[in-house]
Amino acid sequence: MNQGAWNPGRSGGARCRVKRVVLPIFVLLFGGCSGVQDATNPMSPQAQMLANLWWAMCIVATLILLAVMVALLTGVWRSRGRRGEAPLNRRQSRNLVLAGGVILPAIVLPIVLISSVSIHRELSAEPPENALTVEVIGRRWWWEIRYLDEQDRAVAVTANEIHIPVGRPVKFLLKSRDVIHSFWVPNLSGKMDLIPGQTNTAWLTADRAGEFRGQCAEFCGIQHANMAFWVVAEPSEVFSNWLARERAPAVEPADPVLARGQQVFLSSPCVLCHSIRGTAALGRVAPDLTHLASRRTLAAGTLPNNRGNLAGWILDPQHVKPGNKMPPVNYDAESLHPLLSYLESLK
Amino acid sequence: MNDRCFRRKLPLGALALSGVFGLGLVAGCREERGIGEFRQAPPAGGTPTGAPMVDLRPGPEMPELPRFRNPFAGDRQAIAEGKELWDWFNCSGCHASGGGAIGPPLMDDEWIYGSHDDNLFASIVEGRPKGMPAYGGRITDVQVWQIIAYIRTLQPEYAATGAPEPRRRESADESGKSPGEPKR
Repeated sequence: MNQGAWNPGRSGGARCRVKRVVLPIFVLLFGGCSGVQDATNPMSPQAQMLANLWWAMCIVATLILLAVMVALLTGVWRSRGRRGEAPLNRRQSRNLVLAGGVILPAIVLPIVLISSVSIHRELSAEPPENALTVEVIGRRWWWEIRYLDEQDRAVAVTANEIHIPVGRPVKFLLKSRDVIHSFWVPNLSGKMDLIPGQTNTAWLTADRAGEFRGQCAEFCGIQHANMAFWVVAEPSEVFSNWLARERAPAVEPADPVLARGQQVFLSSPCVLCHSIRGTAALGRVAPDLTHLASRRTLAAGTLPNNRGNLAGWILDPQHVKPGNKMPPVNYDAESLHPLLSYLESLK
Repeated sequence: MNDRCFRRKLPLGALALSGVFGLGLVAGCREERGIGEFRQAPPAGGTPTGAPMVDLRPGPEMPELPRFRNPFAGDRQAIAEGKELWDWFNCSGCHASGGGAIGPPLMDDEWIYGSHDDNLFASIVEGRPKGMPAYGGRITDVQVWQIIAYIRTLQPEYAATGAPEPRRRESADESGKSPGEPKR
């Protein structure tokens, strides 16, 4: 926008700059607006309010920027004295500063503040009674997801993937076990921090079915960027089926290969951190693997969940996500393949 | 013409310059070790098993046996990881925060099964009678060494000297890479 100030007289040069400099910046800025992680593509009433506020602020700020630039250019132009106009006298200058620097902000800023605070009031209101309660626990660098019943007991535990029913309010209880994280699903809500020793609450209602990416929005260490999750909004009957399956313990190994894979899992370092409900694996410091194969991604949104990525992740997690808490475990092929088959059977 | 070229390049130059400054700022925030160093190979030469717990031996004088030293001794990253594992794997359940409870204290200088790094390694991996579980096969060697690095910080000498100076691991030194001393 302010490019014009460099060289207002030569429109050819200015156009060249627009192409070379301004456009790429805008492409970079708006490249993020691809739909699945996009605050300007709201899919819930909460996100809609935020998007409206954002656009309103953006338009107001743009108009003010334009006005300032016009004033600046006018000043630059006139100071060159090309038109021989007299400078503003003292009284005119004072009035200009009073109008633009005192009266205008005194009108615009309260309007922006009041609309912002009133939206915040609605967002932080108590969630409706019939809200589904989901506990989200931030860990370095993944998300523990626990579905709670009416008595606040965890009925299903999963990781890095939150399924929610369309049209029903969902309340998130946000906690952290280590450092401060922040829960952000741009299509569905604003950010809310997860703070150790404190429970923050956020709630939202998905308007439409869809898959939306969420991302940790508070720097939390070396793998902060790879601490993502997916929110899957689906019709309520699909959601009920999903939750019923998620509550169930893991399927028993159906053939000798899978049984061997389970044996490998239970007799190797996996078992000290991970749990598979229905087996003796009860570790609670790493993601619950009871229904690993039903999840879309591995390592908190880092990799698509498939056999090859799973093998790479198990054998050399520090290559995929350097600094993460998963240690590399060496398996020979005779152990690895049954293990992979077993983990892939955990639908 | 020259003048025009100069004017056209100016914003690009400014952008490049601010990029360089930005990189400089980010470079100041790097962790003590590079991102490739998180792939830790187990220490060379295998793992200590059958480490002697006493200096007494039958028969004539024998040459001193090579002892295993903790490759992560004093490595602050390893100490922090070890502290986390200490709680994760429930060491604290018996040894509390080092003062001991069901298990013996680890912050004094009394070591039932030897005080060398390799004795501690063996105690963790093999387990010990009357309650110390054998962690061998359940946690990786690197994790054992990280826990030992943390245990060493519980001891009075550590409290006296304070946090260790940042120090490169031996393996990194030997490999000839010299990433430079971290600036503090």
